[in-house]
Amino acid sequence: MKRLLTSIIMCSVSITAMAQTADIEVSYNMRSFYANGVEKNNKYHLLANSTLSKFFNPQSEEIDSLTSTPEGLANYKKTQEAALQAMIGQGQITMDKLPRKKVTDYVIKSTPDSTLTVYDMLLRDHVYYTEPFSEMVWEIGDSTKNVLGYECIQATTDYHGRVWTVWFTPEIPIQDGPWKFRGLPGLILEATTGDGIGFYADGIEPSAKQIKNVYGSEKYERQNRKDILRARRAMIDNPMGALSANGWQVGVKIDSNALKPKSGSSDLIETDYR
Amino acid sequence: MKRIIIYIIFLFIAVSAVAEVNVSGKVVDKGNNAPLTGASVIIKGADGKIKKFASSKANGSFEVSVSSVEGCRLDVTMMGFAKKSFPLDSVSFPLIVQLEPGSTLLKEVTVKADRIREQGDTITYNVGSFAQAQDRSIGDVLKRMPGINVESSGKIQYQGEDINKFYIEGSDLLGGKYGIATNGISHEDVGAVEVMENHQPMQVLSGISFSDKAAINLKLKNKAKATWTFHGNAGGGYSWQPDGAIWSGELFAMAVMPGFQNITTIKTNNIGEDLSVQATDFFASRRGTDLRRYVSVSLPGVPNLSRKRTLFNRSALVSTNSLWKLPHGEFKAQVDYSFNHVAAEAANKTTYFLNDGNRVITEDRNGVDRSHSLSGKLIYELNQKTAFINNTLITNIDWDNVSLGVTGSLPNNQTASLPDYYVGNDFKLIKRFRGKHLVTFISKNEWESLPQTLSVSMNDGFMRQHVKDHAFYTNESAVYAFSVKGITISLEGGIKGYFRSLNTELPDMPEEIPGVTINVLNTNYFTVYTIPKFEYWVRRINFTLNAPVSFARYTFDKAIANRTEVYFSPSLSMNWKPNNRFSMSVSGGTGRSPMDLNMIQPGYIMTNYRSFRRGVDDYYNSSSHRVSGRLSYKHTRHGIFANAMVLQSWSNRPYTLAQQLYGDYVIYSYSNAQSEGQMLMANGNIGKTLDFMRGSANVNGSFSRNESHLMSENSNVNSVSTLWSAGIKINGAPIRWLSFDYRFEWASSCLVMNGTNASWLGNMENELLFNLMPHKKWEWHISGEHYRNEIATGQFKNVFLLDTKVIYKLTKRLELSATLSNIFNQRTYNYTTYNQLSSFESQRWLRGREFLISISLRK
Repeated sequence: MKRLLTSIIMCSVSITAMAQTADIEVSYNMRSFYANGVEKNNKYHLLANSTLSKFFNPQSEEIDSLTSTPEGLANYKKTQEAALQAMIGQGQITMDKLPRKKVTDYVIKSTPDSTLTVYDMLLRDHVYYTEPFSEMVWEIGDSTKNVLGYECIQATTDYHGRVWTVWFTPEIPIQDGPWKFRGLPGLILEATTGDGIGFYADGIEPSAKQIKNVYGSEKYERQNRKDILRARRAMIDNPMGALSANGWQVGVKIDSNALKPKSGSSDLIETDYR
Repeated sequence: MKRIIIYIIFLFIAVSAVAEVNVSGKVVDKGNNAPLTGASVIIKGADGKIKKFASSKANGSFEVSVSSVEGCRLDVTMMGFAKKSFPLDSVSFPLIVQLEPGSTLLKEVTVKADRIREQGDTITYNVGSFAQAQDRSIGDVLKRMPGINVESSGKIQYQGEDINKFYIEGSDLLGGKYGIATNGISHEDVGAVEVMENHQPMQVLSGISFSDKAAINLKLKNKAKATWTFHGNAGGGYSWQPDGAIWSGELFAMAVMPGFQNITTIKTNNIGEDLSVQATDFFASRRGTDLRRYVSVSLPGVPNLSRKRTLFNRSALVSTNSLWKLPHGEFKAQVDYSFNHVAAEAANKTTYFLNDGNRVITEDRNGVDRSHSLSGKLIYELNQKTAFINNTLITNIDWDNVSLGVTGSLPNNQTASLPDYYVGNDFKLIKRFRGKHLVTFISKNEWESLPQTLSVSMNDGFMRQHVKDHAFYTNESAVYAFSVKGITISLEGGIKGYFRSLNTELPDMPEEIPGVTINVLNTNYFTVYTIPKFEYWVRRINFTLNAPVSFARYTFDKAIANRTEVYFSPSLSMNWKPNNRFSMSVSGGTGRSPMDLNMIQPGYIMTNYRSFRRGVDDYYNSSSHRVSGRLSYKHTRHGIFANAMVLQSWSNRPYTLAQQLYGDYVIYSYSNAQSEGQMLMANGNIGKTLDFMRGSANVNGSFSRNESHLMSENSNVNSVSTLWSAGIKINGAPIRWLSFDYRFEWASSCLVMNGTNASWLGNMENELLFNLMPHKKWEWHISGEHYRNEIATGQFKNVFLLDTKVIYKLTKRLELSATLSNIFNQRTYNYTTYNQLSSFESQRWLRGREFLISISLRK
């Protein structure tokens, strides 16, 4: 029954999400930190019109689009294998050089449904959850600043465990923004927390691209948001357990203490799971 | 009591609710009154700050309540519509807000997507973020990508090294003739340029044999895939020098389908654009037949000035290239024809620096070179993980007719007929079995004929030089290789055969010059060779040792004594790539090599009306050593690419080039004396993206020093030439309606002979182009070139050339343009260069003012 419901929901989500043309494409750099404090930068794009948007990593989407067909998947595996073979031939394997997804999440925001949907992966499992827009409440401030030549106004929100300060511009009348951020009278160009995590727009372009559905969205299974966060936390704190629970052969001992967070900046982006 | 309290509370709420104003209404499209969803509705207070906001719902309605509307304004905005703003004091609700279509202007300071992105060994450049409005072809954009360098010939280098493959959508359609693609494909059809570092084109060798070269792949946009794309332009106009009509036309068609690719291009012009270089095969290896022209009658060329300023041409190029993907492998067919008619005129003064004073010869040259080239190539290739097969059949026919009239110290007329006929077949088969074992068979067979005729008529006589030169070359070899734990050992063994015959005759020879004027000889050899090769991978370091040994038997058909020789020329290279950003390589080699057989030539050959050449009359070996080092660094996220290279080589030959003057004639021959030479070359290059203006910059510098020996008038001359050069290139679009290109080049050279103090002569070149876009349908280019040329120490010749072009874009597919080049109608250019033991001062003619109107169309 649950599965039937899920697929019905998925169907309706995919119908609303189908065949819409974007008005704008914005690129954001997401800054976060590894557990050891080293800065990590990931690129995201936002394709948006006034009723629908998709926030994604273009590289990951390319890989997902490639692997969405059986031939594509086989090809992709072959490329990976070839790269691995070449590295074995050279006597050294570098994970960085393998073609693979570095970022796995997508955020789809649909104004008619007043909900956003987050697609993500937990190790090898595809998961998704939905959330009403109303969970994010804004307070517009007085400060202004210029971002990429646009006059921006400050706003804050206490959202899922972190206080975010964002900068939006009424000059671009799209009530959207990076990640799950939306609902301000203008596009959000910057969003930061006190400890350095943040999204920074670095490019804006008018766009007529199709806002396509997430590739293979039917593979994703609905889960509770906090359960996903807890599972992710557990994976970070106890990678051995997570790997072996998934049937992975673990031969190397990992010191789990080394992976424990040292500051709030290396915790998950949402911290209300505790 | 409780009830009363509730009443009171309700009352308060009601009172406060009365004070609130309910701003409500509906947002509709003015055109059709359709409700608009998702419009931003913002209420701003008297201070301009946002008091409240909302967005319109699916039926276009909105509702916001504010305590008071006094002094407030309502802003309604939506993408694709013009903003509507009005005061709220005197309006009644519900409002109907009608929005008119309009564009929301986005600032163009922005850069979308990563301009350069890196994944593993692949660097991806986003074409749209490097293209400027003035660019047309993908070649124009490649020049702007840091790390990629496009030479003036069209040859592409990545981090200072020539690329080894050029793919379009992963298929190698054009081979080394990628100039057809870079000059033809519109940058608007290309989404991204991928550079694959350490690219091993043969899959069968992947993980076994190291490659330090990179390949380029063009990723086309979807609109250019699985269909034919066409574009073309045609233009006509008038030129002030040469006086007359000018034209320029081009038709380009490309199909990139899953199983078939084709590029066909037809071009013609007489506006100074040399088309023959566009079909040059940059991957062509040296022909095994190794014939070289003795006759050298060439039209005057102009260094340090862009060729399009000095080339008086009529050119045409037709090239068609197809690729079919078969169930096993692919088949390619290429046909190219080019025609080039070049006229040139020059007034020269040549001074020979001799120990007993200088000798001066003046000449005015006026010549025409008509050349045709027709070539065809058929290739079958199978490129799999376990097998590689390639068979390439090439035929090439060139006709080159040069006529050159000279007035001055030695008035004369020269005509030369210089055809070339070549056919060659290359076969290569590699088979990989049990993962680590490789067997290769190679068979190369080439035949070439290079007849040459030079006729010179002087005021009192007539001379005709005939040369018949043909050769057949064959090379059959087999290789076995195996690989264990990062170590690859291969052993190649083979035979080479070479049969060449040379017949030259020069019936009439100026009386002043002593010696025979006939050559009848065969230079043949038969070589058995083996090349052991050892490759070792350890900790991101690759070592490669090559140690070719050959045993050669040279036979000369009694012209000179036969010889048997053994050659050994080992080379070692090391490549270290500690991480994705940095790589370093060092290599060195030494060995003995056979002489260039073209130099065995006991009788004189007239190479042009004034010079005669005689080769050696015995067989010699030469030896050489070289070491080189190379560094490269890149940081793709910051868009920084840098590389540096240094090379030193030494050579030793048992013969020395000698130059002797007999009357007005120059005789080149070889004397039996040791000649040692050495060369040092260094260059560096740094490129960086300039994201704030969507541009890039490049700085380069080079140094070279070349020391050689020759004999002049029976005395030994040690000459050292030194050259410094530096250049800067910057481009960008700092504001929405303006983009620019700037290039600066400086070079200074010096030739010292026998330690005498010679002066440094410098050349400087500045080129600046502005492209103004006052309106999206209009473009206006203004460009200037400035050359500052040092004719003698402290004496400069300045040339300033100004061009302009106006483009009107009628539709997306159709545009009209008008070009006025060389507005000041500059007609001459002077310079001095050094050539062997002489100085050369000249006056050359430039293309004068030109007006051209053209129309271009694309599908």
